[in-house]
Amino acid sequence: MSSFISFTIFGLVSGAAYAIAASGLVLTYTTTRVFNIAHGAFGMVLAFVFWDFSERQGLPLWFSLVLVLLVVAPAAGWFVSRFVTKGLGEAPVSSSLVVTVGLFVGLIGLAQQIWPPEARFVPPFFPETSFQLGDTFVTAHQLITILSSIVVAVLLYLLLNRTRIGTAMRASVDNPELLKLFGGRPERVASLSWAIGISLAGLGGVLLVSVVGLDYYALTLLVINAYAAAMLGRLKSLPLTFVGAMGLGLLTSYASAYLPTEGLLNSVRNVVPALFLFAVIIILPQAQLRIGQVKGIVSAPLPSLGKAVGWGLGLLAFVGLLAGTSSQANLLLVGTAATYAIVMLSLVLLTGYGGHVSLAQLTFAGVGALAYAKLEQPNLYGLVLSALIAAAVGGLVALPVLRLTGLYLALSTLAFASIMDKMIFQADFAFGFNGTLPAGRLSILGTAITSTGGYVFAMSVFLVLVAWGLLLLRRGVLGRMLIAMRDSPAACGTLGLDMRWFRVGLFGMSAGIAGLAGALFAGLRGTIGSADFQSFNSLPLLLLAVVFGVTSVTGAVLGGTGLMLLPVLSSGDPQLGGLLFALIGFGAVFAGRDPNGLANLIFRGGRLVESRVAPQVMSRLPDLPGRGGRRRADGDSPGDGSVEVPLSQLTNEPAPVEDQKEVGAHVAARG
Amino acid sequence: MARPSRDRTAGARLLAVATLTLALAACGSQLEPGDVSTAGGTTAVDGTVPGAGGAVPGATVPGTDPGAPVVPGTDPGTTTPGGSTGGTGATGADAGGGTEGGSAGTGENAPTGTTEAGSCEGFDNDQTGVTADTITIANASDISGPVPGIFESAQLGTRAFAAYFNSTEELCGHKLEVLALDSRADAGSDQQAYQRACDESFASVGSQSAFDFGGAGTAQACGLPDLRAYSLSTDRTNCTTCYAAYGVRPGQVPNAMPQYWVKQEPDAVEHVAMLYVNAGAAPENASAFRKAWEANGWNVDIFQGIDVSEFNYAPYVQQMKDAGIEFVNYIGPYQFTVKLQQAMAQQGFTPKVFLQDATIYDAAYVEQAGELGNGVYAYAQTNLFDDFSIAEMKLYRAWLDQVSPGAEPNIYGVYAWSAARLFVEEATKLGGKLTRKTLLAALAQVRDWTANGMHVPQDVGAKTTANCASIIQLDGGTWSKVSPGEFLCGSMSNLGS
Repeated sequence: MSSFISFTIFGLVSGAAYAIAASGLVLTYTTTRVFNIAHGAFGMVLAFVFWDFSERQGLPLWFSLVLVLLVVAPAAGWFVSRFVTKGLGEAPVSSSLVVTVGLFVGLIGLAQQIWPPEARFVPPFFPETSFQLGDTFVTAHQLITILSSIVVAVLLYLLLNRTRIGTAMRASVDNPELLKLFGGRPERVASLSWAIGISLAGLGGVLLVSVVGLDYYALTLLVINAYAAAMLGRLKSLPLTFVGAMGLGLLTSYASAYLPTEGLLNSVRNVVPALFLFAVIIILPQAQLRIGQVKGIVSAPLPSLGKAVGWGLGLLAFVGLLAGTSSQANLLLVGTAATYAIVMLSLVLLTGYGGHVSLAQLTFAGVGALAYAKLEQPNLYGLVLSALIAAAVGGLVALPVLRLTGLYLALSTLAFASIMDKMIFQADFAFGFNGTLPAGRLSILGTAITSTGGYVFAMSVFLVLVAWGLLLLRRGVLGRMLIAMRDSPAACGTLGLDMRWFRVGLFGMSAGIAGLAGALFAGLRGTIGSADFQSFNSLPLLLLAVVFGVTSVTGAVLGGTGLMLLPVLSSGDPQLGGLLFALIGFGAVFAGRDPNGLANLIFRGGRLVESRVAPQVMSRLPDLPGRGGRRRADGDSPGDGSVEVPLSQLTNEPAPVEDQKEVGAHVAARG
Repeated sequence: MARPSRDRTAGARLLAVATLTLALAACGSQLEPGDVSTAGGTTAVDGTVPGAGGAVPGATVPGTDPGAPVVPGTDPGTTTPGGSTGGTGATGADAGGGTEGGSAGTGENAPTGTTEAGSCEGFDNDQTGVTADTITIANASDISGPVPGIFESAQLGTRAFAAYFNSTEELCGHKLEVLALDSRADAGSDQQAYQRACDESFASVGSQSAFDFGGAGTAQACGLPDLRAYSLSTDRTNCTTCYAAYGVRPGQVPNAMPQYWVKQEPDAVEHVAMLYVNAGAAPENASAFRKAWEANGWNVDIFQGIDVSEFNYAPYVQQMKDAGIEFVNYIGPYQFTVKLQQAMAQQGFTPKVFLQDATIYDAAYVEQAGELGNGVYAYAQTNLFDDFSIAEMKLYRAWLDQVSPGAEPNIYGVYAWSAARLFVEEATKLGGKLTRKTLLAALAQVRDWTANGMHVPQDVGAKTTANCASIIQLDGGTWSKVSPGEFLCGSMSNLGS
């Protein structure tokens, strides 16, 4: 019995840490509707700042604490709310998630850059003081952690429910315009929320750092466990969040103590927070659709059929050239880029067209690779079957949460990825712990592709085929439904469209594409293991996809190349690695609002060249017999549906050009 | 209109405070107080990249006098055995370097040892990685990645030996050039690095990667001799062209260490807790160790994995207290060892023995653990890094300091140096007959390799787990050997792979 009490006390200590972290998450979400994936990363950076002040510079502990929690953290929160997340709550969930994932990656990079790896240690508060409760010792630091969590919970509750500013905070998320009419200032309210939220992240970081250690990832990822607690309170209720945090803490402590140390239940111990998150999400009530909003985005232009075929063949020709001239080592890099590009195409379908975010695409790729290796059928049959298995798993993930939308769906994929990482992929029936599986190179119609160059070319063929398939789908009825679903689920519901099963199918299709990529990657590598598909890497994957453009095939190809190059460039100079991460992360923060990404800049550049430079060039060319260019401008249609207007007829009025980009709700307007 | 203005003013004020505070934290204050006080009074190292040709920066060799000033790019260095040296060697080779401040050995500690050099007649310069005057060896270790620099010591160890060799020796007219590759703690990158090694180097030497299965197939497919510092995965052990200075055959566990503790602490081994990090090879190893140690008379009451994301170790400590544990064995990174020891100290739990493998035989652990580390035991397969009675260890420390001043020695560096020495000695023996195939055949015959006493005997060619170890203890920040003799050696438990 005394042991049980001990485990309860330890659980409460863990729960207190989760509670502080989850409270900050809930506060920022409740008041600004931005789910801050980077909450833990802020805590990590602030813990480093605390170490810098207190240990490296030798400032008094209390002064360091005051500086971090009352100056640096609020200032960071204010900065983020004013320059990063302003208006993000009204943006699609995909945008707000990507921006905070950008902060997540950027902050890790920043920390690596400012504080290069070395042994650092932050001692606990009052290290010599502890209190004995029966057989258990509670240190002063642990007691401070528990008390802090209670104080934070009470103060936040009072702030939100008993003060004017708290009421304004809650009002600002429901209708900031109305708040303005009543004399409130939503921006100031948001700034205050973020200032407090980041201070809480800092408090969590400072309290945990002596236990977790100063590590870029451990502190950052630890807070992901707190998502489950926050989710129990549906990201709104602070009391329920507190209960969820304490419940999670107790659960993990009891699991450590009482679960068997071998067999399946042993692996359950490691995924308790993820299972808790998944369970909480499943029991959440039906998500309410937000009425009166159309959150459309102007997508990247769809290429004409001719252009799609031309660019696809051009890409194949380019890869063919590389296959013939590059070294084997570089070809492996090209193959890796092709893998990432195909996975990103799965995100184009899911996020770019469908408006849903998945944080588990690499895990689906892992499922495809595992199936491919296990099937031992290195041929088209095995490849297709692997993709189908991954698609079925993707559907299964979406199935339990088909009542939910946006953020909840994304977080369920995060929980799924974590469970796969620590439980399924490591199991004996899968890769095995630290294990690998051999995977043969693909053979097509009985012809084995043994050379790396040939295999990489085959991979790029699949890349192009998937891309063409997506473009065809986008042009059809299904594509229009996807866009409608993305832009306004409420409007779709009003029109009688049941989006729930459609969403399951979409998830399945997207996972299938990722699975195809994983299977091809397995063949490229020859040996494949769970380490190749760590769930954490799905975050930079999503980030790069958005930075380069998650609404277009071009963005996926560029993003895949970028993701492949990122570690290559940073390995040239390890110190540069942190800087690159910071650049990519913070770049995504500003690019995240436009999911068309850098690819759109290329499209604009292309159109500019087409409209301004090309006519001038053409006009200077001699009108040779057989050249159709200049004659075509005299009246023939270019064949891609566009209308060309002679320069002499241009007026200030917009030309009657039929908009080919999108049909339907493209207006980012509020009704 | 006044309000926005006031907002801006308040905002600007806040931003100014934040900027000032962050600048204090991040920029100017990166200088240590000590650095500030000595600014302008210290001599910067020269701009030469260590081991990148020309002279290496001047450095004090532990236990020797600093060398005389040198001019980079002059004659090949001359050396004085065991003492301060001068001169420099401009070899033009990547791993070349002078011997400024360096050290040189004689006899078995000479760059080629006591090996009788084979005739250079018929040396084939038309081999991959071989030119008229250089032989390129690749080293693919985890340099960047989630834990930057995690196995950089293996690359430094290889470069250190290459620099030592180049300072005085040639292999049939060839200097050694090190192709430094980064396996980036990723299996795919390891494969890519090995593909480059296949294409651009004669052999791979001293590599160390967390996910070393990635390039195993690639190395075997191209016939690349891969003489690693450590071999971690089953794939790498099974690779027919791969050997390691520190080999591990899954399922083979030495008995000497557990038997030592049965004699020393017969009561404590009746109540053992084995805790391991639930990641990488640790669970597999822990399971094998448990079987072997129980076969040697230990009684393991608690056998439990701890997830990498766990931060509250108190429940595990409570379990140990409840079970009356007297002997704790932990398998995992030293950072997690410190967490466990913190929780043990907080809960007032002091077992008779806290034992870990040589992972904690690392300066970073000593620094981070502080007083918590006092009394901890480790079983090591190397001699003490500070044992300068071992001339080879002294050489390693000296040349490590040459290629990377201030770098700390560790087990990966020792075995990388060892691998590089083994490569050189075998290649020297082969002389003009040196090819990838002949080198592989030679490596297959290597037994009882100790790199002149740096580490326990390793049956490199048989790819078996070493059956020796020494027990060392940390006290007051210093490690000392507590087991008798040089190493404890004994039989092996074969548990099957």
